[in-house]
Amino acid sequence: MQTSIYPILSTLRDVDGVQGAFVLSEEGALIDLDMPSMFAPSLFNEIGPRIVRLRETFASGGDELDACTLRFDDFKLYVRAMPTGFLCTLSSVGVNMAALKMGVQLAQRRILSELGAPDAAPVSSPPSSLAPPNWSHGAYGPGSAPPPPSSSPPISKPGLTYRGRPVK
Amino acid sequence: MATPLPNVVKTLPTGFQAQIRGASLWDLVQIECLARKHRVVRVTTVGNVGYLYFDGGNIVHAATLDREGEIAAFEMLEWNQGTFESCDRAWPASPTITVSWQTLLLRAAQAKDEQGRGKIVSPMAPKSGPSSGDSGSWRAEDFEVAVRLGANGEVLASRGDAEEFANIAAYTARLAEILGDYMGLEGFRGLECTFKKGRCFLLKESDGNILAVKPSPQADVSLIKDRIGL
Repeated sequence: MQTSIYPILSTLRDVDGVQGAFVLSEEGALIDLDMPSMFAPSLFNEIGPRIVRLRETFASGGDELDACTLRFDDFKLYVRAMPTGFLCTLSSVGVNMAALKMGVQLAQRRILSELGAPDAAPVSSPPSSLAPPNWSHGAYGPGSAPPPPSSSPPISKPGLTYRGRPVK
Repeated sequence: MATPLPNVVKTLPTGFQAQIRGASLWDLVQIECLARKHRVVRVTTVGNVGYLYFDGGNIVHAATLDREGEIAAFEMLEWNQGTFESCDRAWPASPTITVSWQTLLLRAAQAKDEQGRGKIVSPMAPKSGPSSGDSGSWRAEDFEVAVRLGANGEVLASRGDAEEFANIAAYTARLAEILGDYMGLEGFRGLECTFKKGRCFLLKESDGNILAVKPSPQADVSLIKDRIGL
């Protein structure tokens, strides 16, 4: 079962080269993901806390993280620090970063709205171009065949709250 | 009874210690190279420190707070006052200077001539050899903090208030490597972080060193972005 955030994440695939995206809570817990099926949700038990520590590391030096782009040989991981968590996007290296940042900005506003963040900007219905595409999850790696649609298990979030309110 | 003198004498190093006013680094390079010494010499001047690595009749490595290789040697040879002394220091895994000391001094003289243009070479420039052109040049005011870390986190060179930044850079680089490992992303090359105010870059160099830079707001960061592949 997917949360209401899943279709928002799927909009990021409108940007060429985006392989998938996921959202983490402020504590690093996985809220939802639209990633290739090889990324098991349990993997994010390791990834989430480290992304949180990335922000904390810079915060210790007085810098408030806004975004971080990690470059690997074949991929980029773009981490956007939201007021209430993180929106992370995995893409190929040739991704149009300007388009990706714009897409992430729009997605962030809608995610914050879904999470009920009080400082989220009001979001109107997305234009058709941003509607969730009806396609299977993207392949992981250039040139590889798309994997079958992910059977992502429901992301349980026991006790996950934002400012005292449960996160759906 | 007094301690036998011969034992004390045995522990003293051989050779003279000297303080010579007016000696220049250019003289030192020639003396050390002609003597084919294997040693590291620490050169200290106001606001900076550097190291010259002599081996087999040549300078094989040089490092200042923010530079390595030939460009660091050039920088030191520009210093017109300070002190130098031999010291113990880790040697690089491979030479960063491969030209003869004569060629190095000739190039340094040439660089000195070009110094009048007011440019310094970017800390992102190749470790050996000067910048290939203006596109690779940064002015000192282009970055607030810069630090180069060895594979084990040791500070190889730094500029600005880099102590805390070095720790942050080392830990961040490690986090990035781990994230890559978990996600199956091979070959961490670097990252860019943007903050509410400012930004920073980490570049993993081919030898495993990490170069971390906080550029000034007005700096042209296209060079390091290109090197990271951002």
